[in-house]
Amino acid sequence: MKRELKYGMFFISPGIFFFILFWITPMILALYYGWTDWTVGQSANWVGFRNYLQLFTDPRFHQSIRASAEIALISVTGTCLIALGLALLLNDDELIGSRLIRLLIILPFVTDWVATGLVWQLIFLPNSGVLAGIFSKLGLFSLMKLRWTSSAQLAPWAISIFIIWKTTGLYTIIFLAGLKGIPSQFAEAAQVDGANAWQSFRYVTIPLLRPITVFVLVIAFVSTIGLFEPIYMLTGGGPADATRTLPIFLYESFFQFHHGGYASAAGILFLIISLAFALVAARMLQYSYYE
Amino acid sequence: MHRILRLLKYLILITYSLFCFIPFLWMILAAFKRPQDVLTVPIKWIPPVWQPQNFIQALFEPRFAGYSLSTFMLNSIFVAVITSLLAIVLSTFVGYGFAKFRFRGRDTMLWGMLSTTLLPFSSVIIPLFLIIRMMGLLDSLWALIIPFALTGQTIFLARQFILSIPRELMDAARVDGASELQTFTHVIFPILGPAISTIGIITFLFAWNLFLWPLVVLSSQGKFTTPLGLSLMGLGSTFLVDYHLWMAAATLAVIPPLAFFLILEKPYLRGLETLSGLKG
Repeated sequence: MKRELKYGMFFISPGIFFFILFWITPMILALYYGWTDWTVGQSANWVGFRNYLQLFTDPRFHQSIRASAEIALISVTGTCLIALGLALLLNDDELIGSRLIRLLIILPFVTDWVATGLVWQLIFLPNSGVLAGIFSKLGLFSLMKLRWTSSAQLAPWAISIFIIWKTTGLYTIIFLAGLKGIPSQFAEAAQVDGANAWQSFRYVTIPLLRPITVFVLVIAFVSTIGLFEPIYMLTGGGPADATRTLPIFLYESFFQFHHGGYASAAGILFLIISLAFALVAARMLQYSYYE
Repeated sequence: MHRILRLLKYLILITYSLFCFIPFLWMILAAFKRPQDVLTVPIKWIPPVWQPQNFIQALFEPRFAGYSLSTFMLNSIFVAVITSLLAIVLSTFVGYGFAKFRFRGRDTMLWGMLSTTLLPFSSVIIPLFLIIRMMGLLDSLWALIIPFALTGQTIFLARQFILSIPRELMDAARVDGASELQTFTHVIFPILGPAISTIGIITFLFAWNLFLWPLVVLSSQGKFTTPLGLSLMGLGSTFLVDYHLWMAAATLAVIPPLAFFLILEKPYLRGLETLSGLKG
């Protein structure tokens, strides 16, 4: 067994090296700087929990949590519902053109945020953008003036629409794989027992889909809350603070205002929020990895 | 009744596919337009005058401190290809260790590395920046390659593929006198074709699409990657509002990842399914 340990460790050693260098060390550094008043270019002094106390009373930080939660709520709900719906419709062997439809749905996911972000900037442009052009064709002239990315009410929706467009394909594929993994015998057995199509969907398919739904919800949540690109491309965090989410807050605090200690403390809080979700997810996932 | 439901099903699927595709269609058509035909009410979908030379202008005109989109795209290709190659070698190596050896703490370590895939990268960007600065890699393309050459995702993908390889293959190599390293390089690695294409395409797309990280570590425009170069355009930038050229640049920028995706669609989708823990 010693042999197994020796060679096992030999093969996984690059993994341990990368894991320590690029995940453990950054966390320790962030934890350390979070306890200091470090400003870029100056030396760091120990200040204990002052940064954290300040964060709890900083309206900009509160607003960034609120903006993150709002965008995550809208886009995760939208993405998951649409993805589940599409996967249920696509899970049909007799469907004509299902390969083409799946291809079109995944296209936005494999292209990058910035190139597509440029297109969405022009789609959302008031009065002369693509959306305005479509509204004018439909005779909805009052909607043409909507300031999608520059009004505080609409900006989170504009960003969420972009996120839903961009990421729903991924979750559709995952749901579809989950549906394909449900043996049809279950539904057939239910039908033999006299269940109609709706009943077998409600009492057989839905409960069997629960683990994958939880998985998709958590993955969608942690990836959406970490997104920087769609906000940077569409609103830059504005108007005012309406879409200044946690990643934008961190980026600005450090790379624009050079508040290293303060930004590190905010990063730690951000990590704790995500870690809590990750732990829940990992626990729910574990069984499927070892099956 | 059944007929109507079926029709409704197609209607919903086609509508959503169009929603996915129309932004691309509009982008490609706008890339061929004259500037005055891009944003019009009502929309002119078909360019009244086709201008394919927009692509040449977008690609080669040195608008960004003497550099053009072609420089950014070459940088991106370099970064994406090297990251993918490193990811293929490193993650199959590590995945082999996790899949075929039994020792204490193995599953805990695997679980730890996997859990990093559930943490938002943007939350550790500041300390990671400090580490890259200490390594002397700021403003170097290697700063975009090294941190992503081995990730929890690709280790897990490689492990899942290697789990299905029968142990007898390794035992036979050992009986023939091969060392553990030779067993990996001569017996295991050559039969990992499917794993290699899956890890390759997932890493390529990931590396090509990186934006926040290059924004933070790169400063000279000659080293910019495609997304970073594209972000110099856009509303509110200091560059001219040449919407037709933006769209030509955006179209060119999505061609390499799309081409790679279309070639390796099957391994890519298989990878996504494996990552969701559904398939061994």
